[in-house]
Amino acid sequence: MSPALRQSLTLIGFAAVAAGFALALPDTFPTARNLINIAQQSAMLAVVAASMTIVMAMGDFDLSVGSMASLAGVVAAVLFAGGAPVWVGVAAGLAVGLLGGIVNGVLVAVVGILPFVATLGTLTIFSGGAFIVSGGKTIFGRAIPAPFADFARGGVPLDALGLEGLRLPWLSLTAAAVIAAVWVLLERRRFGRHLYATGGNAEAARLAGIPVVRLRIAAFALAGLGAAGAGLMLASRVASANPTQGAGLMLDAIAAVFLGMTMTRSGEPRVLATVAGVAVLGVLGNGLTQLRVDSYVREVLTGAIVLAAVAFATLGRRR
Amino acid sequence: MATPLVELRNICIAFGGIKAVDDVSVDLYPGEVVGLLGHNGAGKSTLIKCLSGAYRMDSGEIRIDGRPVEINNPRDARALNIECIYQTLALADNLDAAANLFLGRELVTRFGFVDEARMEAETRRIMQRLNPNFRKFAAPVKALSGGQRQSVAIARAVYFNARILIMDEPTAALGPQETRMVAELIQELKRQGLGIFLIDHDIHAVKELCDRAAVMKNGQLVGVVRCADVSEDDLLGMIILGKMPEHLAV
Repeated sequence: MSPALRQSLTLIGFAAVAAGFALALPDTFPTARNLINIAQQSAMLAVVAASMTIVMAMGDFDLSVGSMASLAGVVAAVLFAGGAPVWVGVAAGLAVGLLGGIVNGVLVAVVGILPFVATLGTLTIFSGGAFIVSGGKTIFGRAIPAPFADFARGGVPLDALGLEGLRLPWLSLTAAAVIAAVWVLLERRRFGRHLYATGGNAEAARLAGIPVVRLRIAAFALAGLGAAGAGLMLASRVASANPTQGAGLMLDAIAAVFLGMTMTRSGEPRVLATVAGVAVLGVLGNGLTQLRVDSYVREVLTGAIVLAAVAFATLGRRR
Repeated sequence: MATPLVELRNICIAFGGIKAVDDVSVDLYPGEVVGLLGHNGAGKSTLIKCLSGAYRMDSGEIRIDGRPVEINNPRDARALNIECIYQTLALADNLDAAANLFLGRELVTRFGFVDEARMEAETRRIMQRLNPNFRKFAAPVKALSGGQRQSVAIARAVYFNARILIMDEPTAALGPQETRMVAELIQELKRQGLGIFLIDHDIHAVKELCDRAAVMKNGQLVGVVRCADVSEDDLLGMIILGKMPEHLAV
């Protein structure tokens, strides 16, 4: 299989699926309102997947992002319930993410535990922590300050574009800002160059004087920060927080990065490709929901599509 | 005689109780090529990795221009203008030639962004000198031939104005024409006053390229000889028997 074909296969499949949805759901799928809806629904995943791309660029994984998202959400909500102002809750949630990410980084880079095992351990710890902090309950209603919940409902009015009554959601704009920041970091800064070099040959990176240990800790710290940010966005969107609400983000984020990798020339994780992967998953979820496909069937389909894409990419690279 | 560029004094390094390098002293003068000879496991690469910062020695002293220096990691070595071409080449296979040449020392713009254009221009400039046939500037280095990869590794060592160059089997992966190219390069760098440590298995190449040869066996230094004073058989004897040739023995 030629690299060009391998690269475009995922996009061709994506276009075919989107066209199918548009034919089956002509009134509700290919509309501006629905596209904005997808952009909003996918915003949290986009943030987690973009920050997951940072660790995957150096060949590592972070399995703890989903439970970190839950933990950050409940930490903020518990502080809100205790009367803390919005900025305090948000800052505390992000700080928990940064700290948890640093713990992951130290376990992997300093102690030397495989990322898979280290972050599986912290996944369990963060998840248990979220239950402890929240007392196992969902925090909702008056405990959540109105400005925090309003953030997810608001956006920039698009009346000027002829889209009366529609808004570009703050959530989507936040995701776009995170994606842009990660893109600059990975593609235009020495930091990203060093991450990719470490992923390609960690020993060569070390011999070239790159501080590989510090670099890995920083990458995991950013992944934790991104996960916490997504957790706060999620809590804002549903105006509540419970200790499991971020759980689905981890697998979808890894799936999005993998889907993206099938689209890049080198088969490496690239953040814009990851965004395309997020779009595939977002469109798929949205279309299948509208077709009233059972959510369990949707999970099976998502998993199968990711496996198929990655299998094609792997076969394509083998010669 | 002038001050040596590098003095390795009584270097010891052990791995799990095994003395990989045992009390070895070698020095290197500006404009000189010193060959390091010995079987696999004799300790040549280990010795030299103390100088390049890849390993930390257990005891001993390194002097540069007569002054003792601390080399704890590859960054320290680079700061002292020590460059190393490793046998493995130490290239990030997923990155292109320019990214590898500037690995860890990327050129950036005023705003801290990676300056791809300038790095590629510089890479083209130095490749024009080292390997004019080199064309694949945009491809990841894993797509390059052994010789092309080698020239990227050499370019990286030469570009940053090294004063001390370490070459670990620089011609092992090369064809005859490329080997000749490396030999010419070594002569040119010598004329520029660099000191070069050349680690090699090939006695013939060492005899031809080096001013002096240091022979190691089982982690110990057998001796250092002027290449003009010995035959290839003498060197072979030193490597295998671990003894100085009779006409030089004291």
